[in-house]
Amino acid sequence: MLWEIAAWQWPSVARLVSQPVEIARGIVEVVATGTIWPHFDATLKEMAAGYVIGAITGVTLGFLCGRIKLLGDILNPYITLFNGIPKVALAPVFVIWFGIGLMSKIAIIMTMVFFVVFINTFAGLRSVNEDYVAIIRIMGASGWQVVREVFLPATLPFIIVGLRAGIPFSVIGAVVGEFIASTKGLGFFINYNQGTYDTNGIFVGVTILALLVVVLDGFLSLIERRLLKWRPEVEAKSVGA
Amino acid sequence: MDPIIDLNHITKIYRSKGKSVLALKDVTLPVAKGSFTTIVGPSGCGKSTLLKIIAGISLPYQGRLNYKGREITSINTDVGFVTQDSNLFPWLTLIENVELALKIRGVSKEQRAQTAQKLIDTMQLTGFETHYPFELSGGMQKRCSIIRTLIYDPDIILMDEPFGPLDAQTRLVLQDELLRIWDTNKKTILFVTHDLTEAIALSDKVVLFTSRPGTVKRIFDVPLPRPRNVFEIHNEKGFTDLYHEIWGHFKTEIKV
Repeated sequence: MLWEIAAWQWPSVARLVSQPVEIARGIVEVVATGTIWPHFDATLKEMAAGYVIGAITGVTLGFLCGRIKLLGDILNPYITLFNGIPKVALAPVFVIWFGIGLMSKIAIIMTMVFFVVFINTFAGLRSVNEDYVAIIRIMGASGWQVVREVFLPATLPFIIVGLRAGIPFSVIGAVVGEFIASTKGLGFFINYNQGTYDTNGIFVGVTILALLVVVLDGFLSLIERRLLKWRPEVEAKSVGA
Repeated sequence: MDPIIDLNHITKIYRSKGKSVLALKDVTLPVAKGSFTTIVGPSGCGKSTLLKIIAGISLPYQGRLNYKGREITSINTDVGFVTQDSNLFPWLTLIENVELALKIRGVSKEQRAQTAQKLIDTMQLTGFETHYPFELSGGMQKRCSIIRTLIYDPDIILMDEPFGPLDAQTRLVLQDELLRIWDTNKKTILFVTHDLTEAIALSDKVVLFTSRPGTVKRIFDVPLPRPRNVFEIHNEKGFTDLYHEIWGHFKTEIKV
């Protein structure tokens, strides 16, 4: 509201920061004419592929490193080291390696999502109550049963925190990749509008991205509530990132 | 009768960060089948370690541990273990927690639900089957942790200060319930506590441990008649004398 009123008051400012009504109109327009779809489609595909691969490798490696002490001891210093690098800075390298198409964006997103999911999964496994393990082993559980009945459910809250934290990362990864080199995608759309000095167009792209994050996060939070109804409240905190 | 557990010169040394800690030293203790034995001793004397050794989760140890004629070299799945914290799995409902051991042993769904329900009813937990642990009181969680152990019918139940965190009233009620269960199925129970009254009220034998490194200082028979009334145990003839006798030996272990 304030933004809208301010934009009426000072039109020169409105040219720089646009105004909500204009952005809404812009979104309706790009959706109605369909000009946004190839971009939306491209970004969504990059995110989906990068996110899924990053999440699966993150959970798997997090699990292995969390449970196999030797592996964890060997890999952990490297993972900490690589996690210290701003992943965005690697984006140009991926473009050189994988070209300006889909692959380079998938690689960027995958890298970013991997770390946040890995670190949370790993932290989750390290926090499993050893008494639970002893109790179920005395009951006669096999190695696999211990994983299924204790490690998986005990780590799930942490994994979900990692997965939720990974969503904004996948958007950042996609946009950065598209900024650097691309022919379509929402990041490309934003970059293109910058080139034509169309502030409103930039905000249209940004707003669509924000909405996308909200929808995806809402979806995951729904799953979280379903799976974690045994908890009095959300207590797992995101670590790393 | 042969003892079901025969501990011979058990010594346990923990090694951590380059330091060795002698937790148990030369513990020799036979436990008769069907008996209720309590171990009392100052905190840190290794009583819990002894239970863990019998359960096979604190290996290796020195000495000989004969369990029904065999040595313990890996996890002992013939025992039940009730820990100080209830340690119910928070992601399982009350009935799922109770059923867990049977699920692991591949018992069919209907059968394990039936067995679990019977135990839930005897422990007056009826109506709370689908509640998660965080929705249960401390006493209810404790009852649940006892029956999830009873459900797979272990030969021996090892209890590590199970009533420690409970309030005084709940404690008495649960002691009473435990004795009723023990009277009906005559399981062997090895019970660790630092509460002398609890030890005398419940057991046939009270084993007094020294301070660390823990070893058996003395074994006392408890000749009080059964069934016992834990609520009025103080008035039982012979209780006070026995209490003072054990306490006389106990207090020298506490003073430094």
